[in-house]
Amino acid sequence: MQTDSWLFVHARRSSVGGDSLAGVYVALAKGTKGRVRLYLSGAAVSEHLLEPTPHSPHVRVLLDRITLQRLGTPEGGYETACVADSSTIADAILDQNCRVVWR
Amino acid sequence: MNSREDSRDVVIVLAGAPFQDDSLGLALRTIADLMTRGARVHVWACGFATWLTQAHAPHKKPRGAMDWEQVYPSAAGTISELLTKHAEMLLWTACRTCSEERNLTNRVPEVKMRLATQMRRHFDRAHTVLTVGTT
Repeated sequence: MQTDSWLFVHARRSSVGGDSLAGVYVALAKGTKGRVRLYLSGAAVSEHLLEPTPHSPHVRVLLDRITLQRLGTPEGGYETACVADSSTIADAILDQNCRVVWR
Repeated sequence: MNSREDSRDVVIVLAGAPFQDDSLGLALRTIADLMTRGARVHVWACGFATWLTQAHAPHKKPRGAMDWEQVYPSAAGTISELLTKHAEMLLWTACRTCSEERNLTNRVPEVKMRLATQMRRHFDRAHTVLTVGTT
């Protein structure tokens, strides 16, 4: 199988922020021709809103829509992220060219 | 159960304590999305995730003081609904080793218990294996 894209799913606070694994993703993104996406849910979203995951043109940050609704936070206007649904994860799982890592 | 019935497109291992973060809720939504797309899903629950399909697990969340009339389904209730609605698409297994270690063997009838040593056989048959949570 040729992996040409990655989706990392994170739901815990410690997954994001300046000292998180995001730097690893940035490095990975620079080393691959495919796209690298970071799907954040739950506490990982609120942490990202407080301290955005280091922005890189190589990594696309996705914020869970349900989490934003629970937080009462607007779904638009983010400079470093966009909003997505769990269907994005389902599509990635069924995509044989995408590797999903859930931690 | 023969090999065809036993095979699944996606195996998802629910590992560890299910309520430590938002992983469980997101995983259940993703499982529903997968089946909406026609994928056959096998969930293998390990550790305290085996509690989710216990017969005595409440199907509703406790009422909230802010909105007393509103009733929300619990994780166990959501799983029960998925098992009923997608009986042909969803196979749910509780790890026997984890269940017996925690005295969580009073499971709902839709859920099978299998030894941890059988995991590999099911994983080999799946197109995709995904682990949610840490063990």
